Amino acid sequence: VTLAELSEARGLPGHEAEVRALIRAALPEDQYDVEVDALGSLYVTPRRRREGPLLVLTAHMDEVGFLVTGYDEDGGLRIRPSGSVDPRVVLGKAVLVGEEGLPGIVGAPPIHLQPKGEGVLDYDRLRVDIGAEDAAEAAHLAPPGSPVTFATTFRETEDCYIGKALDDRLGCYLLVDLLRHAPTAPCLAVFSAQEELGLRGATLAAQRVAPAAALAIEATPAADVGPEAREALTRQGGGPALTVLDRASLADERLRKLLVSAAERAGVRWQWRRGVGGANDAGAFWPTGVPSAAVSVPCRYIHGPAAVARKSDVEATGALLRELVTTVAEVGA
Amino acid sequence: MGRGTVAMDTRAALATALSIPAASGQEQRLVPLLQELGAERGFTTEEDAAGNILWRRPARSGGLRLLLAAHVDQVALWVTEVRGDGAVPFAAPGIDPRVLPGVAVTHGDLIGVVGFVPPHLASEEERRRPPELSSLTVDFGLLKPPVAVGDPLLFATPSRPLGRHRWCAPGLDNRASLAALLLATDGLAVADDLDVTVAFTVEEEAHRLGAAALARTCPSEVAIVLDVTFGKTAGDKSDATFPLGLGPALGIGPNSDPVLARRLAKLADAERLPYQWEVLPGDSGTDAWALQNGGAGTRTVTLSIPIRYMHSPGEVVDLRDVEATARLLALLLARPTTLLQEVAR
Repeated sequence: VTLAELSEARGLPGHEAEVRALIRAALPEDQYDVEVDALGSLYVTPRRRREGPLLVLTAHMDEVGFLVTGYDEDGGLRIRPSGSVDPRVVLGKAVLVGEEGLPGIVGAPPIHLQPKGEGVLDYDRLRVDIGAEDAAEAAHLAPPGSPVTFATTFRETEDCYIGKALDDRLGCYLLVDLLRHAPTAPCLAVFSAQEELGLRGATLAAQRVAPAAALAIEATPAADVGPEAREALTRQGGGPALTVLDRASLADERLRKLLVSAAERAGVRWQWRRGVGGANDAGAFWPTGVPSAAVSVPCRYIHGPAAVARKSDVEATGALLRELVTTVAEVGA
Repeated sequence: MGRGTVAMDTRAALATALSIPAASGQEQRLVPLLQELGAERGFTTEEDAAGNILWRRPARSGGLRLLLAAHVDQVALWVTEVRGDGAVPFAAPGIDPRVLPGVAVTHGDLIGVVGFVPPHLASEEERRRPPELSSLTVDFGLLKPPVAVGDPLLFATPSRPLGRHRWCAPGLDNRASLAALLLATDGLAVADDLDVTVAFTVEEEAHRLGAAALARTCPSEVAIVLDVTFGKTAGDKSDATFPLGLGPALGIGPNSDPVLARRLAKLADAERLPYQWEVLPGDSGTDAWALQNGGAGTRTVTLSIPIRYMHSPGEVVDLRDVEATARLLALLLARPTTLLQEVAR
């Protein structure tokens, strides 16, 4: 499966089927045992897995977006975010609506008719235009609860990947890649559902499996451009970011050391994730007493129409993970 | 083609009209396309000194000079600096900064995105403030993006149909009018005594510079300026906005000759073509302002297609309004005499 396919796949929290299907198709069933739980998370075990302490690796399948909640008399759709989307990145953007992905646009009032100093348009005032002419047609085309995702074509430049949902399809991509590279690793891969609503898929997974350790593979903000750059959490080009502490977990010290030594053995640059904001699936395992940690790809503009990730960071993260899994297979977690 | 009917498919006309985007100053990109389309329609194509692209068709006898004018430039972001870290600050005249965070823009084959601070790191106070232009930069995903100060960047939103009757694209201001002109002149039937010029004007979005020149380079008795106007959305009670699907807005007021406007309305009424009145107490905001009192002066009327979300990354037009505009223009070209002659002389 390509990163392009994963990025362009549509998968709001609770609507991960398309992403799940792509991942399943990439992992032949004669080599991997596959299971889907009640929330829709996908569990993948290599059939030739070596005996040893079990390492759970997670990447979440869901992306932030919106659900249709109502209709205006002129056919405009009202929406609410599913996951955290700053309303300031929504205005004027192209979207896909409903299971069939009807084209839509988030209508922006003309600047000419705006009073000076007009404020942020919040979800009470944002509308999606799908060309419906009245509320009845709109409701027919996009029934309540229809998913709305950003419509973004994946791109690749010499240096970067540009696309929607890189948080966390990058993680899915790296985890699929890892499974294919290490078909005997003593690992269980959990492609989790509903991470964006509060680590919900991973919370269920943490109760269903009792691993020796858990590692979340994530895309984390790199707010390293512009006047706010001084507050950068991570920097692009600095390689995978390792977390000490975030909003939901404290990285296990032994795991952290394993990750650092894996990075060094792989010969890749790495960085500490600065600041303690944000959370990821590691935070779902941590409260169950399972040593957990996260390795993150620095990623600009996540939770918006198009994120940017540096290719060298993605490659370095992949190299670190392969090295880690090799070590775990040799010495045990 | 019969009177007041259009043969070409409206969606095809729009797709063609939108196929080569151009910021102000880039209009010359359209010359080969317009030359080809003009030739198919019996026009010779020339350019005036200002760069306006002109389709000409002289009268067979006598000749009232009718000018149809539509600007073909669109709003853009303009590169103001290329920073060492690859970030590209820009100016955005005529564009609401609120549409910019996260938007995709093009520079030739390059795609860039306007960056923003993710919600994880934005403070509550920051979230309540609209973005400031000075804090925004374009990210091309390249350490050394091949762009230069002064380069325009255009919205990269895909051009596509919306629902049954609508189309969404950046640059429908004013390519919706270009589409109407392509339709109106497809299988063109022109009265013998009509001298027709169709002008695709430059730099309307930059102080209407093209139209000011056009008034001198292309003297005419009567001009119809084709542009877009504000489409209505739910809850909007303004008289300056127009519902989509009810036909073009016919301007009336000092900048849109009331006598001419009422004649056009009569023509539309006779053929049951839909239109709406757009009362313009002052500047129409179109090329008509510069055209009307430039050169020797021109009797000018505005005909504007309502679009929603003007100057945003995704403007929306109703195909039926494009068609109604095209039909009215086709009628006018086929039998202008009674309508225009007395007005003009």
